[in-house]
This record gives sequence, structure tokens and C-alpha cells, in this order.
Amino acid sequence: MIRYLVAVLLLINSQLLQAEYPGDSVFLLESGWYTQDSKKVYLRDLAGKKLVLAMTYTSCQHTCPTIVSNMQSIEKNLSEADRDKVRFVLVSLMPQSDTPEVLKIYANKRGLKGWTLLSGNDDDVRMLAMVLDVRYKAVGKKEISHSNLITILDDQGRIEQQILGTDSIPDLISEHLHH
Amino acid sequence: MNVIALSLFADLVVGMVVVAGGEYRPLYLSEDSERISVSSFKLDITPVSNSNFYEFIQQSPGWKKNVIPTLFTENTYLGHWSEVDNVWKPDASQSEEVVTNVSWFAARAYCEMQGKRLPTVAEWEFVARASESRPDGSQESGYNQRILDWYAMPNLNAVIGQTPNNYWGVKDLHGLIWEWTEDFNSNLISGESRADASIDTKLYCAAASADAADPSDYAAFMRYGFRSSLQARFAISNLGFRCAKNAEGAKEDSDD
Amino acid sequence: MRRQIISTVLFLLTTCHVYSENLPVENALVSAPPMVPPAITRDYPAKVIVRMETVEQVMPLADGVDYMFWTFDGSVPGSFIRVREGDEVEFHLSNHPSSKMPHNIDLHAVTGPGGGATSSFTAPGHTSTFSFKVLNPGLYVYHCATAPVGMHIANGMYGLILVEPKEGLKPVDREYYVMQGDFYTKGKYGEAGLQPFDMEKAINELADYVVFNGSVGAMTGEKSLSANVGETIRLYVGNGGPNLVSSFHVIGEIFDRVNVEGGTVVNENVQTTLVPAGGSTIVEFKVETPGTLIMVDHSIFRAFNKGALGMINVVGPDNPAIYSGKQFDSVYLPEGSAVQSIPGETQKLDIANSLAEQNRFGKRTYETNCQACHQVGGIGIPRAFPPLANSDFLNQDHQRAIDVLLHGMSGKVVVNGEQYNSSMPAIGLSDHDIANVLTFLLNNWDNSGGQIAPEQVKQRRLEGNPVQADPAH
Repeated sequence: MIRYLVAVLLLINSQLLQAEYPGDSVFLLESGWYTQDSKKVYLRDLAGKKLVLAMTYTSCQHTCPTIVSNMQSIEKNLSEADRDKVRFVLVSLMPQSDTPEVLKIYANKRGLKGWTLLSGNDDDVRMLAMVLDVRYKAVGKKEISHSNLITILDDQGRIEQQILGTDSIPDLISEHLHH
Repeated sequence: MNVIALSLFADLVVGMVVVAGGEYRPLYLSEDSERISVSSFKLDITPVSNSNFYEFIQQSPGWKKNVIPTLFTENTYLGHWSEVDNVWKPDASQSEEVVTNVSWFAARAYCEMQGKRLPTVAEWEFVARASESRPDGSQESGYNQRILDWYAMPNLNAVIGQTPNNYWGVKDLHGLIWEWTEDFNSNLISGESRADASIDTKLYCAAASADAADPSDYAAFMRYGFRSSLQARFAISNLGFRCAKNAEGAKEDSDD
Repeated sequence: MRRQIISTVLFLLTTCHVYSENLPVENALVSAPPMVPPAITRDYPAKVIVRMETVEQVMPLADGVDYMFWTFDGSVPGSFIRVREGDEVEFHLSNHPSSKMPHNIDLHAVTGPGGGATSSFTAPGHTSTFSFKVLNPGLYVYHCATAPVGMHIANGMYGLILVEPKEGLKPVDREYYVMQGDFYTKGKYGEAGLQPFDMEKAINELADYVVFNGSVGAMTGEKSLSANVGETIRLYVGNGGPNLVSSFHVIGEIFDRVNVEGGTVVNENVQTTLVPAGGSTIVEFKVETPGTLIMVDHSIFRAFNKGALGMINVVGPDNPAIYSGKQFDSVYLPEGSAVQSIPGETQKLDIANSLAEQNRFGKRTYETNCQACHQVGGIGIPRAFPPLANSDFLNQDHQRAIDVLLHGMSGKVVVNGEQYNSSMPAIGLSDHDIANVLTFLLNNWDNSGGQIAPEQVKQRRLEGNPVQADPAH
């Protein structure tokens, strides 16, 4: 019963949201998430700044570390002024084990100051991955194979550019982030 | 609330069957994988028809053709319907034909509205392996060739329920349309067959290799290949869907 | 700045971004077989845009035989692409919305993952874009590489891309595009109707059809290639496979130059050259005498029993110093699908119940078994195969006609005033088929009419003999 009510409410809600955001905005997704500070946020709360976003998980041993360092290089190459207009976001593909506390430890260890790390639920992770075209597959219980993608969203949540996260071309991305 | 009534009705009208759980080896393995076990689940006997989907849209106008946001589909959405008295709908001859040109988001919303969900790839492949008389018909002579023959046919208008029941009582898994699955985006193959022996680490973060379990299962290759070419918002003229549901008392199935 | 949504794999695109800043942009030169786009005249690299579409469609594989081909640009082989060494190619691959399958493209000219196939995997109704630089000159095959690859290639998804060397190619008078392929159908050669692909035959490499340019007769009769005496012809020859290697030969010619395997090494004075499956060759020859040159795969049963035969019609003045008149230097025994019948083997019988049905079945029998030599419309080939249209020889003696088909004929014969001296083998067809095909011939193409019954054929089978033609008839 609850599911149907929720479904109907979500649809009504989405019609209201549509008035606010463009038709191809990721912020049309209703999902609620928890940050590394255990604060509840909706995706649309991240509007207003450009987003540099990747879907990874903290215990990932393969290319995730490279993706995160690439994002850090991008950050380093931004001027003070530009840095204020950009938010760096990591969304966990393993929300069950990447709780807010775990994310907090990870952020401190990697020096991700000012970044937003998000933990949600499996359903919402799948919806977001579908919207961003991020492929992923659980391998055993401890690993997830997934696309190496960094997505840049504009301040209204529209996908501006997507780049292979393992490329060492932070300059190109930074170009998008100037102006 | 008429939504609940619709859902109860749906179970009876559309018809679902129970597929008993079992094990199978999916086409693409990881290095140390065993056979995947699939818990019992319920599956729609036939894919969703144009008239079913039209009813859904009337209940949930957010999914109408000119209302649905471009995040959730592309401009071919329901392109095979037409405008009658300012309403975009299937015409009478299409009502029992399978609905296509719907995105994953729309398919998912439909199933949710019925209190159901999309089947997972594991569930779909498990059921699809059956022939008319056996849960695993893949070794029967002619089984693969019959499926491959479908690929040689030009696209025809597809009325649901015309193919015989397979072992589980499910129809139309082969020979009608491709079908959406909940986790179709778990295929990490590039589509380029030579590279698919090991996952391209430029594209994917992964430790595992992806050797094909049975290189002679061409039909499965094609399905996996097709899924890999998809994005959730695509609306394609030979891609439809059907819904699934957990069997009463069964846990949500996951393939890890 | 414009917003774009860029498809997933981009690293080559970023390379393109760096290189193509200064290159002029132009649309690629492409053409449908058997034509080749004109030679490239610029002497600097450019950014070349190629747009191709994959489309699945039913087309004839042979007369009466249809096949669901998977194609690039609606033809088998797909369009011929012509670029220059050093060009940057921006490739747009669209998959027609009516396609059942996703498709992609692997160009052997590309140095990079999968030859571009990884980047170009495309669902029906969508377009993929990727870029590459062509580094090596040569004639390269391209094909679809979606799993199962063998099936995509077997259904016709291949073509050629020519990368001209920087200095260009020597100009010739005529250039043509020929590509061989083997096909595997459920039914046997000539069996009518829409034939599905047979995976088991393909795995066992038992081809039912081996053809040039996608169908039996794609370059014969009215569709023959043409040239004038004295011209130099260059053939860009590819072999899509999927399985068979070709022994490419032009009857009546020797190749003056062969770019071995489509590469840079040149061989000269070659009679027959190998074209690997998934490979190519470039052959050049100057035609000195008029007549019909026949392109074959010299694994000869493929040429006469499976369709690996094409023609070049050369017109112009005779040159008796080079060739005196006999056009073929060997005897051909065209047989189509008919085989000397083995006792006890059951054959599918086309039993006609009326003159109209005899006509219809006979036409099909003609197309499958006789047309290779006697040609469309029964016009024959001068000095080689007598005409069956308005044929005095045929109309004079029906019983003799039956005997020719049943028992064969050799020796000199004069038909419509022209002399022929070949061998006509006994055709292993059923009484019904022979009755049908003769009835068809008698009632078409200005012949005098008549009807042959299977019983007549049966009788001649027992009583008749091979026909010894008499030049003085």
C-alpha cells in the first residue's frame, strides 16, 4: 500500500520539480542521500554550482584511486575564483558499507576538503547510474566493477561533459570549468 | 484507491507464473565465479501490451509523451502510437501488440505502479533458457537455431501471447522483442567481441576477466550485446518489457 | 560555450581535438559497389567526415532466393571509402531504427582498440561518433565486430577503405570495387524463398553461396563491368569471408601489377592471386582485345556452382595479333546446383499441373542451372555459349533438345548462323525439371512455342544418346 502511495506522491512531486529544472536535469531525481557529515541532502540541494562527479567506493583497489586523483588535479588547476563555483562529488556504489562515518574517514585520509561524499540506497544508486550511463556489476561481495567516468554537470544539473576517469587530461576538463 | 485495485486486477488479468529458483551459469563469468543462484520469483506470462501501457499513462500522466522529461527518455518515445482527437494513443489494431519505444525509466515506473518490478538479468536469462519441455533447453537440438532464425526475420508487428508456453508457462521470451531488465547496465562488455575476453581497464574499473562461459550460446551473446548498447533513456522500436515480483516470502534476489 | 552530451569513450576524440585544430574539413569520398570514388587530388592531410548507416534488409541473394542481409549503407559490400595517408577521420556510425541488432565497425586501417569497434557500438536508432588518424597507406577491410562476429560478417557486414599513399596512386582508366563473400543458408544452393542464416554450416565452413558483391550475378549480364580496348583497369578486390580464402583470377587476362595483399609490395605478371578472408588485393591490367573477361574465384566449383563469377565487358576493335578468336582457353562445365543424380537419392520435384506452372518452374530452373552460361534472356555469349533466344537449333528439333539436356552434346554446332564449338554436359535434372525448363524456353524469347511433357523426357532418358553436333546440320 505504502509503495503505491509513495509512487503517486513521487510522480506528483516530479511534476512540480519539472517546473523548476530543465527536462534533462539530473536534479529531477527525487532521491535523498547522506553526506559524510551525516547530513541529509537531495540531489537538487547541490544545484547552483557546477558538479564534478564520479561514482566509486572507498574500498576500491583498481582505478578508483586514479579517478579521485584526477579529480584532485582538476581541483588544483582551478583558480580561487573558479574553485568557488565548482563542487566535487563522490557517490558511493556500495552504500551498505560506505556509511557516512566510513566516508568521513576516507575523505580525511585522501584530503578531500570541501568535497561532498554521498551514501544512499541501492535503488537510488541504480537510478543515478542509469541517468549518468555508469555501468556497474557486483563481483562477489566485496568488489564492484564499474565504468571509469567523471561527469561534469552544469549548475542546473545537466550533463555537460563525460570523460574517462583514467585519462590524464585535467587541463581539458578545467577548460569547461572556467567562465 | 483505484491504484491498488488495478494492481490486484493486474495479477489476475495479465497473469504471472511462479518460476522456481535454481542455478545457472551466466554467459559472462568473472574469474572465480560459481553458478549463479536465482531465488524463486514471479514473472508476467507475456510482455506488456500497448493497451496496458496506455492505461498506465492515463493513471500517471507524468509519463505521457509530451510531459515526460528528456532525462527519462528520447524523442522516439511511444513513436508508434498516433494522435487521435488530440490524444496520443495506440490505435485499435495495436492494442494487443507489445508496447515498444519505452525507456527503462518508463518501464520501471509501470512495474512499480503495479506493485511489481523489472526482472533482473539473472532472472530473465534463467527463465529464457527453458524450452517448452525443460527448464534448461539450451542443449536441445535446434534450440539455438530457432532463436537465431528470429534475427533473420524482418521486424513484424508483434501481437503478444502467440508463441507457445515455455517450461515455466512464460511466453514470448524469444522471437518477439528485446526486453528491459532491472540491471541491464551490469554488462561491462564493450560490444567489441575481441576485447570482451578481459575487461578493458581503460573503460572499466575491474579486476575480473569476462570470458564467455559458452561461446556457442550465440543467442545469449546477442542479448548481452544488445543490453550493452543500451542506455536507460533509449526508446527503441523492438525493445519492450514485462514485470516480475518476488515470490511470497522470498528475499529480494541479488546476484552476488 | 555549447553544452554537449558526449558518448562514453572519448580518448580518441580528445586526440582529435588536439590534431584537427588546423586541418581543413571535408566530407569523405564514398561510393556504392561496384564503383570507386575518384582519386584524391589534394596533397595535404584533411579532417574527413564519414557518415555510414548500418541497416538490416531483405535483398536477393540469387534469383528466387532472398536473404536478410545486415549491411553498411544498404549494400553488400558496404560503401567504398577513400581517404589519404595522414587524414584525420571523424566517423559517424548510425544504426537504423529498424535494426534488430546493435552494430559497430572495425576498420583494419585504424590503429587503436578494436579498430574503432569499441567506440562505435551502437543501439538501433542511435549514432556513435569516433575519430582516428590513418597512419598506413593500403587497401583495408572494414567489418562489423559485434559478437557473435562471425554471424555479423556472414550476413554481409563488410567493405573496403582505401588509404592512398601521400604521393597518390598512378592514374588508370577504370577503377572498380569487387568484394567476395561466402554465405550459409538453411536451404541448399538455389532453394527458393527467404533463407535464414545457418550457424552450423558457417562453423563447418560449408558455404552454399560464394559470390562477388553480395549476390549471384551481381556483375553479370547487364550488370557487367565495362571497359574499352586499350584501357588500364584497376580492381580493388576485397574478401569479407567469413571463412573462405579467394584465388582471384580474371579469365582472359594476366595481372600486370598486383599490390600483394593490398599492401605496398608489388608483384608483376600474375595469373591468380590470393585474397585472404578479411584481406584485400589490388590488381591492374591493360585490356588489349574486346570480349567478356570473367572474374572468378579459381577454386572453380565456387565459380560455377556457387556464384563466384563476375564479368567485364570490353568493347572495341578486334586485335587478332593478340587474340585470334577463341576467347576461353579452357573448357567450362557449368552445372549450377544440379549434380549427376545418385540412384536412390530423393529429389524435390517441381510437379507442374499446367502450361503456366511449367513456365514458372522452368524459369526458376533456367535461372539456377543455365543462366550462368546462356545468360539472362538466353542471349548467350558470342563464340562461347549459343543463344537460346529465337534459336533455330532449339526450335527445329524438340527431341534433340531433350537429348542434349539428358545426355550432353559436343562438337561444332551452328546456331542462328554462328558457329560454336564447346561441350554441353549432361544436366542431372529430373524429368519434370527438364520438361519444365524446355517448355519455358520454347514459350519465351521469340521461340516457336510448344510443350514438353515429363513422360517424353522419361522416354528419351532410356532411348536417347549424347548428341554429336554436325556443322553442316
